[in-house]
Amino acid sequence: MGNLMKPDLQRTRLDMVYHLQDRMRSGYERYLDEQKLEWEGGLLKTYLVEADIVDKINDSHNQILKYLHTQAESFNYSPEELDEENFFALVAGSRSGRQVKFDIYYVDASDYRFWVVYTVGHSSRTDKFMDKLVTNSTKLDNAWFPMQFLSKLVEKGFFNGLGGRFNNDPFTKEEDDQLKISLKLWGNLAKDVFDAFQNSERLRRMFSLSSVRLKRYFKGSDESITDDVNFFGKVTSMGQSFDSHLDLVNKFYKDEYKHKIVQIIEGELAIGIADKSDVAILRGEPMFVRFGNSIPNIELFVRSLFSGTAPFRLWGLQQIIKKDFARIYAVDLHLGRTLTFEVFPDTIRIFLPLGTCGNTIARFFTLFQHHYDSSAELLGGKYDHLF
Amino acid sequence: MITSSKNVLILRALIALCKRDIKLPSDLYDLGYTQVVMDKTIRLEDDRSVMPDLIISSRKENHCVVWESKSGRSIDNDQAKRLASIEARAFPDQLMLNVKIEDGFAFDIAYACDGKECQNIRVDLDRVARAVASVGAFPLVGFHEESGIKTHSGRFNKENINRVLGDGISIDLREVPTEYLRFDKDSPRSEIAPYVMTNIVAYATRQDPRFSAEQIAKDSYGSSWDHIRSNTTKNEIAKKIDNMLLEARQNELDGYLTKPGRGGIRSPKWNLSYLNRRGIAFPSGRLKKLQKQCIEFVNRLKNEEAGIYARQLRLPFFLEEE
Repeated sequence: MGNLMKPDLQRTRLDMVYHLQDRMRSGYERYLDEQKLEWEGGLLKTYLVEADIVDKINDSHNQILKYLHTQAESFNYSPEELDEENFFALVAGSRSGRQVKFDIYYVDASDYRFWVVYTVGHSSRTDKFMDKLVTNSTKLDNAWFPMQFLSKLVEKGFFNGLGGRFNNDPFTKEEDDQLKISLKLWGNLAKDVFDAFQNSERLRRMFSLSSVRLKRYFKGSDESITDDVNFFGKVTSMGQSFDSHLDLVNKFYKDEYKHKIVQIIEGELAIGIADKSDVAILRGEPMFVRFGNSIPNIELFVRSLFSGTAPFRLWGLQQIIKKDFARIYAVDLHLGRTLTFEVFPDTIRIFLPLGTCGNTIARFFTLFQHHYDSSAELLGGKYDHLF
Repeated sequence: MITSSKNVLILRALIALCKRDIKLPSDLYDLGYTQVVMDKTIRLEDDRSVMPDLIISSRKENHCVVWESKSGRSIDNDQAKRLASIEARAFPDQLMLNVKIEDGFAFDIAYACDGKECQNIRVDLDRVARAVASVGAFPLVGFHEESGIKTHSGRFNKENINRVLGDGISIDLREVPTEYLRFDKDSPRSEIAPYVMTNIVAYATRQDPRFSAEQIAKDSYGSSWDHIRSNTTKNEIAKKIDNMLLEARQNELDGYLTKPGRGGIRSPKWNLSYLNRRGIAFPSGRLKKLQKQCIEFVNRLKNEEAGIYARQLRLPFFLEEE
């Protein structure tokens, strides 16, 4: 990749904003003309990534840069240090016939743990690249948005579309027992469709939101911006205002999501001795995933769930304590951290050890909704609804 | 200080009652006993000190309970006398608990034991009471498989907890979480092994190349490791784990667990790998095989211990699996 001409990079965040704003405007005009969602150099994609890299806050820039360099060869990108603190670019090239196409990913790690990655590359490439980068790293994870989080998000604008999916593949090998749905629709009747699904006893448990489309109008103007927010932390923006897109992302990701992960799950609910002071006060509370789709056979269920395979990637040593109760000493293979699950027919009790990333809980809960019961709720401590 | 695994079970149950748990009774949590202190030495007036097993505190009740858990049929007389010397000021001043001493504060020293041993423990407490009268007033709470947790004798100084424990709390002790207190130095190896196995798999996942028995002991024990004051205890746990790994390497984990280094418990001599030949972890048949081997290892330890504990221990809930 080194001998090929690389594209120009924006060196500061402000330059990046101007650049992306221009791309958004031209992209949006083309979208209005052609009603086509994807083309070369098209819409802005924002990937929300949780990173566990920095252990010395004062040295965050160097630690992140070093990490990006260590991954560069494996994932075929070139990391670039830009002119501002915790601001980087990844230039990834991929061959398309004789041509090499470059995509630029701007990594804004101003919050060294909750990164925002921007690109205007074609999603057929960018989705693959980001998935590979995150899935194969024990230091990076997506942001994971459960059903309740996405359905509340649409209150910030007009509910203008949705994606949904469900499949119980991880829990059944019998073709006759497999349940699947996958759909995407848009239009201002999205809420009616969603409500209808929620009112169906069967679909309420077997249809999980995978994305929501949110349309917002600017004050005193006819102009609008539309954002598709995906359950695994990808936001695609169609509109003319980068600021408005950024404002939305900051609100739901850096404020709400981060608060739930850091303050509540890791801060209040993780189990352990809170500090190294002289008094060992045991803090934390168990968390519970509660669901209506009762587990008929706990032994089979835990064998499937903790096999170490995708999508859950949980590996565990299970103890079937009695017919309706099992304890699993587990490893989250995505991050390489341990945690304990206890399974009842209608509830999974989870103990997150202090110091373990709370994103594990958000990922497990979201995937559980996509593969076992989409009406499941997460609660813990004083919170009846964690999401 | 905790001395055996039966104590661990009793203490776990007491802690569980102080948590909001939708699958277990939350009687103590509901009364505001949400502050739980472990492994804390309390300095006494005459330069002596005492380390109770557990202290719970409720701001709502303005009350603390110092718990001493007994696994056998007798008590440590000196420990009982020292516990009787604890004064009210220790709770806010030394334990930093949120109570108001001048506003009706009360505390209790309570003993917790196997329901079948209550009478023996009571006799012991009454005998010590001849020298230190207040020991005779310590409430004693029994842990029974059938009827749950119930005060055997004595009264607490606050009516609400007195009523709740006097009426008895029905609880299936098999469903009490292990996570609040994973194990102690005397726990059977089969109770320690799952934590050890998952931690070494976690290291391999993070591609931490080498690890020591001490590191595994620390990560397996959990965040209260730094509060174990005795280095001897820490070394005993690490040594137990080192031996366990040696045994696993020669048996079930042969081919997964290797010992490329030498040295004692502090030496990073251990390595575990489950990557396949191309160095790829997923999907990996080896990972599934490793799971099977780890389970077999834990089950073998359990089976070996089953005979020993059937002879030694009398707590009915000790045998976990039906």
